Amino acid sequence: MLGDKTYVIEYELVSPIAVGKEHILPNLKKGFSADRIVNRVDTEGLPFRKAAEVQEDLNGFIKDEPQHIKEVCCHDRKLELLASCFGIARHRLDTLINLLEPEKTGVIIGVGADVTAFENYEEELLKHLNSGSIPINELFTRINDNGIKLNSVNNPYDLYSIYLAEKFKAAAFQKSVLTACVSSTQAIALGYDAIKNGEAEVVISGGTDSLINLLAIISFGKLGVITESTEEVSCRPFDLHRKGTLAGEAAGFVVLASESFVKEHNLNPVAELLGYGNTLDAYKITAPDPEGLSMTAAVENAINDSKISSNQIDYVLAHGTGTRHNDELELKALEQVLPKGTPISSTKDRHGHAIAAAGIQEFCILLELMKDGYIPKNLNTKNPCQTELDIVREDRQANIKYALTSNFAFGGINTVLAVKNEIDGIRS
Amino acid sequence: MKIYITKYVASYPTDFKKVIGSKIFRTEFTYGLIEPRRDSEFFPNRSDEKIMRSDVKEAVVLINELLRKSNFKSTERTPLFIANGAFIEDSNKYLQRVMKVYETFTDELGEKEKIHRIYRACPPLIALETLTNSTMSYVAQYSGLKYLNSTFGNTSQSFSLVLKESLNTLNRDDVDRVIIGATNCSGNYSFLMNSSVVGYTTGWRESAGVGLLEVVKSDTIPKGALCEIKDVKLGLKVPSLTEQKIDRKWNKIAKIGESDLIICSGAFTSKENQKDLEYCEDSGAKSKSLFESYGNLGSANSLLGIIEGIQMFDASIATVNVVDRDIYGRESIIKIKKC
Repeated sequence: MLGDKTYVIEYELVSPIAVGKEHILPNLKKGFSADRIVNRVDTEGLPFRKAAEVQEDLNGFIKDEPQHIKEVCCHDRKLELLASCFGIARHRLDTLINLLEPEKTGVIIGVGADVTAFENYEEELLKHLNSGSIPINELFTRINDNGIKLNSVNNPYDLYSIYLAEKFKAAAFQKSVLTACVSSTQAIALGYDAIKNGEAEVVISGGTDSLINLLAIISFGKLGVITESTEEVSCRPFDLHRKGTLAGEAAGFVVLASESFVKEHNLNPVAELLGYGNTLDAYKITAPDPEGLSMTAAVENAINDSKISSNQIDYVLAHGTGTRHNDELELKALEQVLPKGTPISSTKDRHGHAIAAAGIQEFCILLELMKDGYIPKNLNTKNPCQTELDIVREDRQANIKYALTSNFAFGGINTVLAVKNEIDGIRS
Repeated sequence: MKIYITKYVASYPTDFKKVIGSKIFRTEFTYGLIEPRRDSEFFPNRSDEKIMRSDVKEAVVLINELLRKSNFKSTERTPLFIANGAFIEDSNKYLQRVMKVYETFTDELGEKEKIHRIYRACPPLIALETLTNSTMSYVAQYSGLKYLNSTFGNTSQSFSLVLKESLNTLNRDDVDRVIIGATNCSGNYSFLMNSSVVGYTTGWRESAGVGLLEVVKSDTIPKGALCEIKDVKLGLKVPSLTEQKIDRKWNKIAKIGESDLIICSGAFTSKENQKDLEYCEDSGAKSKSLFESYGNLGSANSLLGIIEGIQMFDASIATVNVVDRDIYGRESIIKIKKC
């Protein structure tokens, strides 16, 4: 139904800060940070040795998966994270899944670039180096079973949306959004659109990504965005002395539903997704527009699309990567639109930057913050950048009725979501 | 309000190579390459070119040719949606320096030194070279398109999703036109990805392809309109990962035959293509495929199918159904009508 409101009715997260959404708030409140020397990959000798990784053993969450999916999870961290995320929520979702009509249910997943964890296949790779063959071809062909739907490495990106679609019996569509650091933010925005357009009445939107492998850490490090491990803390969003970001990983999803679906099934929504802004810098792929005009437009469009005014925004969970360019321009963009004193903070100092899963990770965190009325401080910010916004320095309780969450991507893509906590007249 | 395609630009592969996939597993494949037009006034600058795939370079040239025809003003709020195939043309070349390092590894070498050597060998811009939104971002950078956007990928169904998104945007938003495109790059990365999923068979053939369309909404037929888009349908199929083997049979959910011509795609071999054509002809319509000319064009299959359909409009062909099934067996149907 065109114009139907869009509600969040479920969500789940696997992240360095919380394996399971119920751990988000306790870990935020106790000032937990996953910033540490990488455990899963040997990084000795690299200038970038720290990252935020999911430390927990995830096997228990995928124990009900068929054996071949479990095996692929051993190779494909993105699938392992996503399958674990579903595994955590599996029993809770049973009732909801039974309500879904397949042809009215869709899935949209944001996914990051495929970076093979070569360190896991060193022995196999070495075998092919002097054999006269192309080593990478032999390696991939050897690892992947010919004609089995799931590759172990080098999967088509649609694998992840198809995985969730099978779980939710979502036949309307399975879309994969490939827009780097805004992939899952756009997945949520496009889910909102699909409900508004009547393309679906329920959309499962989310993302999965991991930077925790040797080549990914090196490539982002060489790009100059990851803080060297000589620093005491890796990520200081909105701090004058920020040096870069903290590599991360995460997977998560939200279940978005139309107002009519919510009413028909007498559901209790968590929040209302009010609207979004989505723009391109059209400047340079290697650097954001120094004027931040399109970033500003994304913030403005999110507010306008939501039919609220900027002075109603109670809090912004910012992209806040801790890189010089991003934080400076993000502040500039937010300052252009929001009133003086609007509280903003970033939680990347605790869970790192999950690239394609950054948006879903932070959206899930925002939902928890709004539910509890809790604004977390920027954990590592000692010398805040000069701004008329309120860079939050101490944790606080506050009623967060309206909030924004922003993400900005390499290549100049800016996506901002607007969320409302209080659900007028719909909660039973 | 109806939706029309008013302009198109496209580039096709011109150079075809038959190469060995795996010596050990005795696989080989043919792939078609696009030769970007370096002499074009719109060809990207040298520093950008170094980190662009050939299909992206050509997309930059094409977007400027399209927008010149459209009298585009950079202040306009024109959305841009792109479908993208594989993101690495030749993973061997791209990782050559890293793999060379592995050749220097000896049993005596410590882990720290090994990792340091990999670090030194890793190309500095590897993260940008493999960026999944590089086509969209470069097209924006070289054209000034700044508004709503997304990149869908990376199976052949992604173009149908892009087209559907453009129709929804035109129906909902305060915009009159949308630019949509598809770029597919071919090479060993794409071959290894696709052939592992559906199972390798002899005669494997894939190609690069690039195209962009201007899509507009209007109450009346716009001047120069090439076709009306009547519908875009997805096959409403949930592929099962629980069942290990892939089912790529046409699931016959959508009626593909209600048109004068069917242009079909999705096959990776001539044998598979022949079966597709027979299936389409069983529906009673004439059928055609671009496979014999180019092979599987991945995310550009349906876009180049639409252009083929437009070129084939004549006295006997007024409606064309462009049908595709992707690597997971998901069907899509795009219905176009002569204006």
